[in-house]
Amino acid sequence: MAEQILFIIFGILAVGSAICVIAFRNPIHSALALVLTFFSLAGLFISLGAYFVAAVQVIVYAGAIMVLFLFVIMLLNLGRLQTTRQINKAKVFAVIVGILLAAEAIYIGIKAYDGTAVSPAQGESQAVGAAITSEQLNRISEIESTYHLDRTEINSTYVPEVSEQKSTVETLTASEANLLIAKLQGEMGKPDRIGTILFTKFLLPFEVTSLVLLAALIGVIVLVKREDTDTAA
Amino acid sequence: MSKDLITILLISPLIGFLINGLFGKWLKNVSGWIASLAVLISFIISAFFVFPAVRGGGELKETLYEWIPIRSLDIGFHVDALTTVMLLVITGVGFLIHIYSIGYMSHDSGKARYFAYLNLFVFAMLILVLGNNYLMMFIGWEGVGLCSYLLIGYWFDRKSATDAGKKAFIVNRIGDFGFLLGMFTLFAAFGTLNFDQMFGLAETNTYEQVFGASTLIVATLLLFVGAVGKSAQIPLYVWLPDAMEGPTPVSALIHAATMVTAGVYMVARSSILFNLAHTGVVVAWIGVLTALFAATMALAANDIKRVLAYSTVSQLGYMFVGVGVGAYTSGIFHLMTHAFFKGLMFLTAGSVMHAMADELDMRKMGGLKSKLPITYWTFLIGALAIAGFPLLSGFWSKDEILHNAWDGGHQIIFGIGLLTAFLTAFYMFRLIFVVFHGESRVDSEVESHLHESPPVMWIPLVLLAIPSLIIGAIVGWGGEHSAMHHFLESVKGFKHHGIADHSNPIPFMIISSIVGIAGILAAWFIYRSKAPVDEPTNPLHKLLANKYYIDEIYNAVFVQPIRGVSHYLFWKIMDVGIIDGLVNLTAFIIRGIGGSIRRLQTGVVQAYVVSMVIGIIIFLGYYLFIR
Amino acid sequence: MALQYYLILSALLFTIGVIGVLIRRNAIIIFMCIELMLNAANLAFVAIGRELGDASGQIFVFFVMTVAAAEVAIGLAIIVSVFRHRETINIDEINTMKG
Repeated sequence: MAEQILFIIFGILAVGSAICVIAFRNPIHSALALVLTFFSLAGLFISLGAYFVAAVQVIVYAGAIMVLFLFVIMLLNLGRLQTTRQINKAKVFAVIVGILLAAEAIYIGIKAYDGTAVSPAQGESQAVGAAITSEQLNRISEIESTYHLDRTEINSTYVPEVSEQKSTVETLTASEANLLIAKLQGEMGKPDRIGTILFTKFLLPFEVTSLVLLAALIGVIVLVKREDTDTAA
Repeated sequence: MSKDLITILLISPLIGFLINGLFGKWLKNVSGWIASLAVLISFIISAFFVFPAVRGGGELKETLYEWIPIRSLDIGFHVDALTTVMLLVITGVGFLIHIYSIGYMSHDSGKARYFAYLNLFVFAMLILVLGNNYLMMFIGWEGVGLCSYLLIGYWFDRKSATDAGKKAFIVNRIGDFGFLLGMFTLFAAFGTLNFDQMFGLAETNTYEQVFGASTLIVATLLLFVGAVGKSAQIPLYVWLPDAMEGPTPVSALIHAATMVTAGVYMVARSSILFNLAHTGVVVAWIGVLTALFAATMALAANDIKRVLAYSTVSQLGYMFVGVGVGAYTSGIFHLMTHAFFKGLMFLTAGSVMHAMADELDMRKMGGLKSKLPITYWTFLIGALAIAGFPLLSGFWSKDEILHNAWDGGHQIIFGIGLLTAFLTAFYMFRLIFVVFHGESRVDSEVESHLHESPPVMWIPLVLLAIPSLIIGAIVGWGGEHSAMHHFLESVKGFKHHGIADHSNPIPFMIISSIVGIAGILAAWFIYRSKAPVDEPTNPLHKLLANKYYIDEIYNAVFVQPIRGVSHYLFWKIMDVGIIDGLVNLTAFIIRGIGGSIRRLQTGVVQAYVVSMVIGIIIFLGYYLFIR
Repeated sequence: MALQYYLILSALLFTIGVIGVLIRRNAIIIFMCIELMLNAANLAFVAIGRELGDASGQIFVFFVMTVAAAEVAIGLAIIVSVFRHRETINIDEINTMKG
C-alpha cells in the first residue's frame, strides 16, 4: 500500500519534472528541473527497496553531476540565453517519432513480461502447513552464500520474525518460507548487503570502474587545458 | 630435305625482319647488310636448289603445317616453274635493291626500321608465291599490302607520305574485297582452296554450281578485281603514282618489280580457271586500256618518278594483256624483264635524286649526262629495253605479247598495244633527253653538289643493266620454243591457251621495232633542245597533266559523300548523340541520385538521431508484431 | 506495484529524454536529456532486479552511475572546448560536418 502511494506520487513528479526539463527555455531552469527528476527517482528507488542506490543517486547525480552542470552553465554564462520558441517541421516530426517510440516501449513493458518470475517470492498458493520445499531451501542457501550470512544468523534473526515458535529454517512451512525469502530479498537493498556483494562477487568491475574514473580524470584535464600561446611561439 | 630448304628460304627474311625490328636501335649501320644477307640466302636457295629441281617439269610440294585438315587448308608449298620464276625475280632483284638501299638510306636515321619493313615485305611476297592454296596467297597478299603502306609512309612526318600510304592501303582494300568474294565463291563451289585439288575438280567439271553455269565466270572476275587493286589497273590504279612518296628503292622493289606483279601472278596461277571460264578477254581489255591510259598521262608528267610510275601501270597492263589472251608464258616473261629494267630505272632515278639533293622535277634538270655517267648509261639501257629496242629484253617480251594478241584474234588489242608502245618509247626518251641531254637548267647551288653515286649504289645498277640487255635474247629466242617457254610449259594451264595457230613472228618483230624507234626519234626531235613547258599550253595537255582529273572525280564521288555520311550519321547522330548520350545520361542519373542522397548529410546531429530512433522503432516493430 | 508499471514509467522517461535530444538546440540541454535517458534505464534495472530477487540490478545501477559521472565530466569538458573555439553551443551553428 505504501509502495503504491509512493509510486504514484514520485512517478507523476518524475514525469512532470522530466517534461519541464525539455520544455524550459532557460538552461538553469532545465537543470533545476532535472535535479527534481533525480530526487523523484530516488524516491522511486526507495519504494523499490533499493536504499543504497537511492542514496547514491542523490549524492552522485543530484549532488555532483548536476552541480557540475550548473557550474558549466554559469561558466559559459548561458543563463542569459532566453531562446525563443520555434516550432518547425523538424521538431514536430521529432515529437511524433518520440511518441511512436514511447508507444512501442510501453507495449513492450506491458506485454513482454508475462509474470512468470523465477523468484518464489510471489509463488503459487500452497497448502498451509506444507513443509518447506527443496527449491526454497536452495534459494535460502543461495542467498546465504551470496551475502555471506550464517544459518545461525538467519535462524536467530529472521526465523522468529516469520514464525514465533520455530527456530530453524528447516522447520518452517512453505508459506512461512516464502515470507522468509521475501524478507531476505527485501534486505538486499541495504548498504551492508550491497557492500558484501560488491566486494566479493563484483570486485573486478569495481576495480575496473576506478580505472574508468582515472581515465576520465586525465581526459578532462587534457581537454580543458588552455594552450599557452605566449610561451609556445 | 626440300621442305627444310624451302622453309629456310621463306623464313630467312622473317628472321631478318625480327633482328632489325627488335635490335635495330643498336644495329644501325649493320642493319642493311643483315637484311641483304637474309635475302641473299633466299636467293641462293632459289637459284641453286629450287631452279634445278624444277627444271624439266619437276614440282616440289611440301606441307609445312596442317591447319584445318578437313578442308585442306594447310601451310604448304607448291613450287613449280611459275613459282620459281617469281622466286628468282623476288630474291634476285630484291637482293640488289637491298644493297642499293644501304647506300641510298645511309643518311637516314631510321634505316633499321626501313630494312625491317623491307625484309618483312620479302617474307610476305614469298608466302604469296610459295603457297599451295588461295588462303596462303591471300595472307601474303595482305602482308605485302601492309608493308607497302608502311614503306610508302616511311617518312611519317610528311603528311603527303602518310596520305599516300593510306590511299594505297584503302584502294588495295577495295581490290582485296573482290579477292575475298572470289575466294568465298571458289570455296563454296569446290570445298577447298588448294590449287591442285581445285584445278583437278575444275577440269573434270565436278563442282558445286553456286551461281549456276556462270560460277567460274563470277569467281574469276572477282579474283581479277583483286588483281586490279593490287596491280594498279583501271579503275584502281590511283594509288600507284602517289606511292612515289616513299623512298625510291621501295618504289623499285614494291611498285615495279614485285608487289604489283602479284596480280599477274594470281591470274597466271589461276590459268585453268580463267581458261575454263573464258574470262581472259575481260582481263586483256582492261589491261590494254590501262596501258594506253597510263601512257598518255606519262606524256605530261614532269616528275621523274611519276613518269616511271605511270610507265609501271602501263607495262602492267601489257602483262595482263599477255595472260588475258592466254599467252601466260609471255605475260610472265614480260613480268621478269620488266622487273629488271623498271627496277633499274627506278634505282637510277634514285641516283639522280641523290645527286640532285632530292630534286625530282625534270624541268630543273638537264645536261646531267656528263656529270653522272654511270647513271646515264644504265638508265639509257633500261629505257631502250622498255621502248622495245630490238634485241634488248623488253623487245622480246613485249613483242611476244602483241604477237599472241593478234594470233588470239584480238586485233584491236594488238593495235592499241602498238600505239601504246609508240607512246612508251616517246615519253621515256622525252625523260632521257630532258634530264640528261641539253643545257643544264640546274640550280647553281645544287650543281656544286652533283656527284656520281657511291659504289654500293652503282654496282646494283650495273648488275641490273646486264639482264636488261641480254636476258631477253637468252631465254626468249625462239618464240614458242624458247628456253622460257620450255621452262614454263610444265605449269598447269599454260599450254592450253586458246591460241590456235602461231603465225610467223618476224613481221611482228619488224613492226614493233619500227614503232619503238619511231617513238625515240619523235622524242629526240621535240625535246632535244627544248625543256618541257611549265604550264600546259592547250586543253588536251592540261587534261593529261592533271591526270584526267580522276583523283578529283574519285574524291567528289566517293570520298566526300562517305565522309559526309560518316560525319553526320555515324559521328554526330550515333556516336555523339546515342552512345555519348547514353553514357552521359548514366552519369547524369547517378549525379542526380547522389545529389539527392547528399541531402541526408545535414550536419545536424539531431537529424541523425532521429533516423536512429526511427530505425529502432522499425526493428522493435518487426520483432514485436511480425515475429 | 507490479513490474509493468515501473517499466512503463521507465519507458516514458526514456522517451521524454529522446524527444528532448531531438528538439533542443542547446548542447548542454541535450546532454542533460541523455542523463535522463540513463536514469530511466537505471529505474528499469532496479525494478527488474527486485522482481527477480537478484541484487545484480542494483549493482549494475551503481556502475552505470559511476560511468555516467565520468561521461558527464568529459562531455562537459568537450562542450567547454567547443565553446572556447566557436563562442556558441547552439548545435545549429556547429555544423561543419554538413555534407
